Amino acid sequence: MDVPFISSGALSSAHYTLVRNVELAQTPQQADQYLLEEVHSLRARMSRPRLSTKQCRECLILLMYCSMTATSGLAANDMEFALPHAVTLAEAGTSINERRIGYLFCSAVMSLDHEFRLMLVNTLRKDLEAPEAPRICLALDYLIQCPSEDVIPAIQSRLHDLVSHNSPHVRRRALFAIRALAGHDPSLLGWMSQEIAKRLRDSDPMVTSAAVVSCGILLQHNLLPSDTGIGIYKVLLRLSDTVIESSTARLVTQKILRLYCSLQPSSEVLQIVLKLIKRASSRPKLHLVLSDCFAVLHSVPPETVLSLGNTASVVTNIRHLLPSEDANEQYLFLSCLECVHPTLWAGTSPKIPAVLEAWEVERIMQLLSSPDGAIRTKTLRILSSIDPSIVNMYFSQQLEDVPSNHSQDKITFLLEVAEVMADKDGEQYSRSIRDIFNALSDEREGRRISESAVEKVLSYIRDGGDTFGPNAATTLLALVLDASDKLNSTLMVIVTALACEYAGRVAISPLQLLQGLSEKLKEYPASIQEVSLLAMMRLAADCEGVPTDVITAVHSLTDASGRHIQRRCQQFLDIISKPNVLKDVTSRSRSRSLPDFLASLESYQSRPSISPRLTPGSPRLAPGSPHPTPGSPRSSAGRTPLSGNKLRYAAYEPPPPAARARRPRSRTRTASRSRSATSLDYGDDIRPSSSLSGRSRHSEDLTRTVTAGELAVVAGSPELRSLSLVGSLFTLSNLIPEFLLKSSPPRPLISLRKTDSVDLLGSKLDLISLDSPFMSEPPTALEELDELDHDFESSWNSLDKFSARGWCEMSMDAVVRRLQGLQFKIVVLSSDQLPFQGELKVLLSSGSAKKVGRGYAAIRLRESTDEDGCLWRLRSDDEEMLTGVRRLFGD
Amino acid sequence: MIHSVIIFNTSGVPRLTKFYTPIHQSSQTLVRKIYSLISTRSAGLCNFLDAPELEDFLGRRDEDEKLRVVYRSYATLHFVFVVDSSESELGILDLIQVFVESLDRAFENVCELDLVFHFDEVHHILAEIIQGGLVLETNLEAIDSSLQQAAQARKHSFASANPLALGVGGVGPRSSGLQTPLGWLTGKLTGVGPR
Repeated sequence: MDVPFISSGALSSAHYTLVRNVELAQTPQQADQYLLEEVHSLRARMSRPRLSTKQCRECLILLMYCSMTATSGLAANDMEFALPHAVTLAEAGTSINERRIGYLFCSAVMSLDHEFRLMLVNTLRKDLEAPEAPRICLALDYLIQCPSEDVIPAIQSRLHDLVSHNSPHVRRRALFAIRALAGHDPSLLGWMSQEIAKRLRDSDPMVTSAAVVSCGILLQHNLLPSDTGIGIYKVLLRLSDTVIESSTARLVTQKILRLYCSLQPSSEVLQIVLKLIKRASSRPKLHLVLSDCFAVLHSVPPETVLSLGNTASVVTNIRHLLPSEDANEQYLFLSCLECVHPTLWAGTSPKIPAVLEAWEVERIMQLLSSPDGAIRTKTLRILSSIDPSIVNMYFSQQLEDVPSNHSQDKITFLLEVAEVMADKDGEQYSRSIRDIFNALSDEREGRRISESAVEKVLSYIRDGGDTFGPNAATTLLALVLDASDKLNSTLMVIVTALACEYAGRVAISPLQLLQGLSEKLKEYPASIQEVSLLAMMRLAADCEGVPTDVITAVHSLTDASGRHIQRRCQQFLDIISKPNVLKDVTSRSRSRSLPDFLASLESYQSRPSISPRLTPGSPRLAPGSPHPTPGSPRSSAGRTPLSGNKLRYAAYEPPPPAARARRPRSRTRTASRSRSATSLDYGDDIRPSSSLSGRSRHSEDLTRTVTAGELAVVAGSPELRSLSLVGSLFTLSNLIPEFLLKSSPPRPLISLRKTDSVDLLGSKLDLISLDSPFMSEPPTALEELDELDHDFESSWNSLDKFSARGWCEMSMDAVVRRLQGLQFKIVVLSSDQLPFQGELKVLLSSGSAKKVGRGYAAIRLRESTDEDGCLWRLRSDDEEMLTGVRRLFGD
Repeated sequence: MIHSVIIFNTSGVPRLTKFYTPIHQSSQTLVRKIYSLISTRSAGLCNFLDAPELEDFLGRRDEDEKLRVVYRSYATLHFVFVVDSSESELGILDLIQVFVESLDRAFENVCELDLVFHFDEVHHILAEIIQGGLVLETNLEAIDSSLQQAAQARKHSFASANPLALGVGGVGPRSSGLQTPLGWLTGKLTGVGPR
């Protein structure tokens, strides 16, 4: 990569350096090393305060680059640290481009059930209500990509309006969003069905296309308004005249034709379809709609097509594709022909003559030897639909002509033929498989095992369905019972694997299979003996006891084999003598398949004390996976969806961009204003603070905390007066917790550990604290909490055992006061402090705990702007503590 | 619907991955799997292939909704769409062409390097064409006008800023032709579609 930075288009020199290092890395491991280092560096960079939205955008882009490029992949956890920033950027980005990256990151990294999704609800609502179409589109794009049930009540009325928005970009996205959200709440469709149907008459063809797609969903739910059919027909009629010129018209036509595959198309619709097919014969651009036209014909009975008149024209209009050397055109021809019933073109009915000429039929037969598997399979299916005996005869002929030096492709092709011949008949499939491998006897094969054939057969049987699989397995497993039948090596591996997977689900008992396999052990080479021994161990788990003849067979194999097989034999003999161990190994296996059983067995042997829950080889969960990730901060306790009436959708004010976080500190501002950082708070003083100026962040907060005016207000409060009556129980935090960066009630403010802060507090605070009766509290617990509050974010992330969230009708002040009453040690971090800016953060400790892991809780509170109450999120490592605090919130 | 859009180069290094349905395994494994399916295919084969093995990654489909891969190769890049039976193969092939032409309009002589350094913009362009696995727009003019607002930043792509450097190969083992223009137009003019 010899591109200079200046012309690379990189976001920054860091971006350029990273890409250059990664692109020039000599090995994937080295590239991954660069990427992981970058992730670590981004984590550090993003944890710094005052990260501007521009920097945040760059960090998120780099993270996504790292995530996509790392060959070993990054787990969802590795990216989770950036989610709060992404949510903030989506909300507070200064431009559409910045917000887009916030949303993009959230949609790519946040799992569908992530609790942060709830935090985006308000952002989405605000964007949807914005006057600018790009912002609305951005929110709709996110909704389409990540629909969720929680968001529906907040936006459904707005969504209803957006379907009729002036901008076609908004209208089409709104229709897609309805479609996406209907997957979570189909009742939305009933409400919107008329609006969707109206959009079929939209002036913008892409909106019409979106309406057609949405009609498909309405049809699935039987909600399609009765008069919609006429509307769709009119659109098709109108567009069928412009399909040649307009790519959009072609797309909409395709969508309508797909819809008609589910609707019962009228003869008028079928006439349009035939017209389109005819025009496509001379217009290559219309090839796009050909397969959809034929799909419509496939959806109606052949008699209906016959009633339309000249049916021969249906196939004659595509015959020009047959001689083509372009594989795509061959594929298109076969796809179309597959949709036409053979009676209409193959001459199988005496009333209708064959449409294709002899050379054309020959050409079709030639396609059986096409190098493309899809073309071969389609050809076979067409021949089978004309007459199954054609394929049967072809199969027999191919089996006879297997050359001694046959290639792997030959076996693959024979297996394809077997699949088409069997269709859904498992027994037929197994018989064909047996015939194939009998033809490929070991003398010819040289005892070579065809791995691709094993994989193909096992996959096909597994994917065949509930009836097909057991039927196919029974027929093949019966071969094991016949001691005189010497099976081909590849077939033996297939049968052994099936014995392992289907034992207990087929008519043949596991015991019979076990005996059958043991009798055949000596006939095969070591590689197959090993597979058989493993399958026998799995089968032994399903048997009450292992017969002596099986044990004898294994003993005799031990004497006649090399060291490796001796070890497996010994393993077999050992494990059958310990039924409990065998059952444990079996239960820890991820599935009944042989490789999973082997993995379970090996892991048991190497780590006998392993917890039964830790199954080996579990796939790593990817970003966006709906499954929970072990070790993720999300916890099951927090998954309970909030009841609808508890949710508040009033728009919060956006959290301030960190670079502009400094605000003029009004000495007369109210407590609530100090907590909710609004855009109105932005001042013109954006000079960076310096230690010399004496205007550090903490000192500012504390200075405003104890202005004379505020103290006077506080002193006038009835609460203070009552407290002063009782004497020394007064603590500042009891009264104005929101003013404080940290408080540890009911102790005084001795947890204010920064010396400059304490100095700036002045003597009043000291005097107050001296009055406290809790001064004798041992300092150790305070130190613990001090350690904790160094990094609320890491405390928050580490407390992932139990979590909960909800809406509380109390103000944040009241909540903090109540928390103080719980007799826990408490630290409060103000809302304008990082992390989780805009939220009041509270750490609780039960006091008995010595370290994180026992008796800690972290709480985040976000206040509503227009009503009294707050959203709370709680995490704890102690269920009892969690329950106590939840009760406090009235949940 | 379209389940995923993936762009990787001839060495299998992903340049863009977008999933419209949740994936059950890591995206890297999926990219490797698709790369193994496509890289072994010769030029004479069609641009579509059934890929039931992808169900392990994208979830089990209905009986009639088999997963298929539709791909097209331009210079050093493979553009791959994973779709189900509700999409027409030729329609998707056309859509890939629309996507590439949109990239070319946005970057002017788009090459792999532009996708590396502007992959956020590539996501943006894709979002104007496909949303939630459904086709949003196929008209190039309309896509282009939607992208106009953000176009200025992208106009200074590598190729347009360095016209003399066109076709210069890269040296890294991961990428052999970072600066090679995709050349979609050449294929179009000669009537031989890029494969």
